[in-house]
Amino acid sequence: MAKKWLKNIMALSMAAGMVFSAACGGGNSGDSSSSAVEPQPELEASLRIAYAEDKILQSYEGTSSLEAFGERFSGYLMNDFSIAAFRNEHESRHVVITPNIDVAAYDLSVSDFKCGNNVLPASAFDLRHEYYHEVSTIMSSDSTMQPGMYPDAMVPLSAAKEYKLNKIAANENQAVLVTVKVPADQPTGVYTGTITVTLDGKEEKMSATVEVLDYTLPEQVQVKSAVQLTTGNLAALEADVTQERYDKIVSSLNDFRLSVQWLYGMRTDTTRDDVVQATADEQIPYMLKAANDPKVSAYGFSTNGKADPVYGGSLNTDWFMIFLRTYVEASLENQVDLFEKAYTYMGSIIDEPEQSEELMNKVDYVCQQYNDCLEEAATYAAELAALDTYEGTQEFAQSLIASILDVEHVVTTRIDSPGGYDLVDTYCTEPQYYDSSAKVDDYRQHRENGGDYWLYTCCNPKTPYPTIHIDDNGVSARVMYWMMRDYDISGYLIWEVNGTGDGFPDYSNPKTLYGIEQYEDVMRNNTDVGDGYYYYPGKVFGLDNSVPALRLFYLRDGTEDYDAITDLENNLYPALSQKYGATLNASGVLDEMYSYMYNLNQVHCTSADVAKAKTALNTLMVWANNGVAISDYKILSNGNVSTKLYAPQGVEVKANGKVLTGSESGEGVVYTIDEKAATLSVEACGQTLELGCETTNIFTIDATKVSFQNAKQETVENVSVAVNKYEGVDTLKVEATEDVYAMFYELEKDQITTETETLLVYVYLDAPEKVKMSLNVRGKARRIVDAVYVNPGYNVLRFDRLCDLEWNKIKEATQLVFTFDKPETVTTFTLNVEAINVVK
Amino acid sequence: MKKKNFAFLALSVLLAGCAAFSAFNAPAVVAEEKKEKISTYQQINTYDTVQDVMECNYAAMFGKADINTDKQYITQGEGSARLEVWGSFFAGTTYPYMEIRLNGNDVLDLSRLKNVQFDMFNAAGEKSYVEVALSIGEKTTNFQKIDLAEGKNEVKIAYNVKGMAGGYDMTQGKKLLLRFPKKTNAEEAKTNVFYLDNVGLGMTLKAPKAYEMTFDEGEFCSFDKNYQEFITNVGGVSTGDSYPILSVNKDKAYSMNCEGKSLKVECQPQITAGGAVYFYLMEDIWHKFDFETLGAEDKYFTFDIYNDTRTDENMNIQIWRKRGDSVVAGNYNRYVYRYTAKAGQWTTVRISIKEWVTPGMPAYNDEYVLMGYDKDLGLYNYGAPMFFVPKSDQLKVFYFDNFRIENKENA
Repeated sequence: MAKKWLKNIMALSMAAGMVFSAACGGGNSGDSSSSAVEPQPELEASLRIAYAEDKILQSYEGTSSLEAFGERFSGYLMNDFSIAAFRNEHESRHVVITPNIDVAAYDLSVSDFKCGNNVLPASAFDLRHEYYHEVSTIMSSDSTMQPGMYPDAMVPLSAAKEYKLNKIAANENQAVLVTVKVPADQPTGVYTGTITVTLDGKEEKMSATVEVLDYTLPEQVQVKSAVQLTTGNLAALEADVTQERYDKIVSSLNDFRLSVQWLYGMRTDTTRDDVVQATADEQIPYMLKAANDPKVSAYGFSTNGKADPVYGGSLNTDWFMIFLRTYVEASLENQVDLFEKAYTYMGSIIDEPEQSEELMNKVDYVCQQYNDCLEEAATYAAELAALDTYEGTQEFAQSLIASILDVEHVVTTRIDSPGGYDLVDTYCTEPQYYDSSAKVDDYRQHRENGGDYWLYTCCNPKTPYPTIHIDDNGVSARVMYWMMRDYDISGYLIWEVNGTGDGFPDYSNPKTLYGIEQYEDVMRNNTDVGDGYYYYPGKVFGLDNSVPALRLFYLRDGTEDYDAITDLENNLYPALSQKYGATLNASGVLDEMYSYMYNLNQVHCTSADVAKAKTALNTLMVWANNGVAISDYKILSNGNVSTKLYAPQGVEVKANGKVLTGSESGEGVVYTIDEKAATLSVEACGQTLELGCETTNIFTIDATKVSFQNAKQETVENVSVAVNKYEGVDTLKVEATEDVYAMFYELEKDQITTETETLLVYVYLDAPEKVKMSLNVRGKARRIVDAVYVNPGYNVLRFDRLCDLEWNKIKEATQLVFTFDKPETVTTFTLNVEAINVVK
Repeated sequence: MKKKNFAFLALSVLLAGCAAFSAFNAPAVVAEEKKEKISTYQQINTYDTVQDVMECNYAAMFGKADINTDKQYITQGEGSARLEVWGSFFAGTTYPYMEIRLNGNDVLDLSRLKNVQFDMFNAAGEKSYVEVALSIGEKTTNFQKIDLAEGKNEVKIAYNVKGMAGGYDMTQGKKLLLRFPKKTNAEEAKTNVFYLDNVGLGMTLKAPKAYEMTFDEGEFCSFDKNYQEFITNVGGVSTGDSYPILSVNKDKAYSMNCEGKSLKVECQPQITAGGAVYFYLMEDIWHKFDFETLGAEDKYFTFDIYNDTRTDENMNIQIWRKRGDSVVAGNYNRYVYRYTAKAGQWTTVRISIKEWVTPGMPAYNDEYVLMGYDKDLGLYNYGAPMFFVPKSDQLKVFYFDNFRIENKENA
């Protein structure tokens, strides 16, 4: 419901109007009746709240599609301003103001928020006027967004007022992004305060709450990032190409939990050893600072290319060694490990090598060059540490040597590249290539073998893959980090953060934009909206700093979610495992939370889904901080929810309102839950976690319901299928012969529909090795859900968000299709399928 | 009655006279109103707002530009541009420059250009200079160096459009370039401050007629004709101060056969690891000749060079393949002709044009450059040949003369 403004201006207006019209009527026509002024309608305005991830357009009027789009988003709007956040965390909301008449000047302010004697000061809030930019084309044909006026530049409200941006046209939306950064020492509690909106001098106050949760997000940013900031591009941004300006942007990026690739901006591409040495020397103070700065997760080493008679271009190893030796010397002298946070990304030497045969051919060569340089640097470090003049510790030197050999070499390619590389250390690829759970497992195996893997986005892919484009909703950017955490992707690369005109300022390209023009034309790229630039000129509004894009706020929210989960899994749960004498793991409950938002690598969810996942995460973090941990969460084949809850002695734990009784486990108590529950509500420490689901078993142990094909899509007749008892459990036993490629299971009507969320397959595999299995849903069309590895033994295979499949093509699901990709060592295998459950 | 009639008559005459007078003047007044106002001044930028300052490209690690409102540094309007010029601190790197758009994203017709004017306050605490060039179409004129005394400098640089119109499409004026000296560290750079205001162009009332590009028999470019002063330019990988300085030499002692004029090429001292630099004659003149036919006729491209140094110099000419509007460099799509300029004397260089136009003739890295014209695409497939000059830490001077087309028997 809109909040209405009751004004007494009618009388005043009429009086003024009458005065105005009397003066004018006498002067112009002498006919007082013809100069009567229409009374201005009373000012009425609605104030509504939206999740930060929902981009609220300036207007939804124009076309029927846009109006329908507006109706969809209006459903996401709320009346109450209410945020829950950890200490040291940022959370944002849009306050959306929609007046019925033109407003010449609006303002918004926030009071101190109070909880008893504790104060969350107004200074903890950041207020941004949302600048709207015309998006004339939505670049993805799969997107459900509509062309219109999109918010992106987040102008400080004070500057917006000074430069008179704070006008609102009648019936248009003007949002203010309100962000709270909860101080690291803020006491826990629910804080209440007031948001005051002023329209042309008239105030309206709304009550607001911020719940400060009992958990502190660590200072150190965990998820790595490599953000390229090209110094020359600062000319177009702020007419300021100096290290000082560069530092300002770097500092801003750090505030958004992002780390720039090159700490020292005044890199030069000259061709001399002395310049290279001078550049390396200049970098050291920046690196020393960054090595100890918790806001910096990573930084890049400098590399240069050189002409190569065989490969066209390769790493200039002489110069790279100048840099590495300088870094080694500085590390030993200062006893600061400059290699620990470092990585190398050779964007100008081997970038996206699949673009050409020539590039692919040199990847392994350049990787070998790189590895050789690291070896040489490590040897150099050892030599220096062995000298009498070395004043540091041998322990540090050994640790440094290990760090040197471990510096990641990030290559923007993928594990299944046609290049077939042997030596790539860290793969960095786009989300569309993380296209199955099995593929993710391959990357995990690569990590176990000593490598790593990152993610990057660019002009491609587009929706429904995650993007940080202007014409995509903000849900996508935040969910991207949940995906990264889910798939253990350790870093994110942004190829350029300040580019204009198709990514770079091209001074001969008429599309290069100057000053305020950058606000006015966001369609500057040919292929996308917004890729390559995330800052707008601040100088045009008298600001010392550049104006960040809304999309940076999304990235920060995502990194904070990522880092909280990392803290949970890597620190809090291991500590609690020790405390309770058990191996705790949160993966089951986290899988539940991930399933609220996506399956694999596409984002179809809403901000409400993200909020649901974040609320669950809030509970997990508060619990963990207070010694409470939910572990081993799973949905059993019989539809029961099974989980354990560990808690300190004396902490009351309830499930669905019932106080649980537990047993001793280490220094605490373990509570076991195993029950069928559509909703399982678990309470502890004042926080409630809502879990559970309504499951239905759609699998009938009936041999007549399955059939088989070979790779040529020919029926395979001689497969043995029988009702079986496997380890005491009723199963359908399938003895797949060598030529079995696909198994079809006949569904009953409406067993899988557009409302199906999750499908769980409970199966035993008898085979010498794991087998890759794809699950497809077939109706009029067939669509793949995922490909997973089935390991020998018992497997619970989870497939989420079947509702996101192309149901307009599938129409009605008639079959589940399982296809098998066997390794060479596996010719035949046996499956014992226990159950297939669906969750709606 | 008579009196009345007289009065009436007088009045009539008076009125008729007035009418006649009005009629006489009316056409003149109409003509005045119909005449277009031709301005002799085109204002480019007076730097009154931040946006005015931002509407400029600042290149080669320029430094920073801000709006200035201190009236002592303002000559026009409410503000000026404060320029803190840094540049890359390492020797051998390009000098910082700014590109002032003449007409936003559109072009400005410079056919009536007389001069470039601006006010520049040198607040750097020492004498300095600025180099000025114009970007016209796809070309950039040579930079002209203007000394700047400390304090206010009213700069006015004349341009000879008659000469320029032969090599430049003067209707396509794009940018005014200002290139500055750079500093070697941040502390010095912070004091390397200039204030720029009142940028404009002086214009003539009428566009002058361009010098006609004429050729004597066999002539390619003798530098004796007045348009030939304006068809040269420099290029290459360089800092601001290592491009050769070109001028038309009138000292007959340095002209071939002591006749006419020649092109003086002053190769600036540069650090040895600097890039390769060259001069060239603009494409317009090369396009006047049908090299395919000349090659078929087995003609020679010939010129004379005087090496005013004490050592023989190895030099080369390169012709790079063009694809569309761009010259292709990387994949060795080029032809290279090497020659030696003997010290202290004239050397005549003769190149068989057949090498430039015949497939299968040897070229660098087995790529062939065909100096031809693709009629279907309407494009020339080669860039203007580049006359590379030697790199040295000393000044070296050469004189080029008598570019000509010769028969084989004369070669």
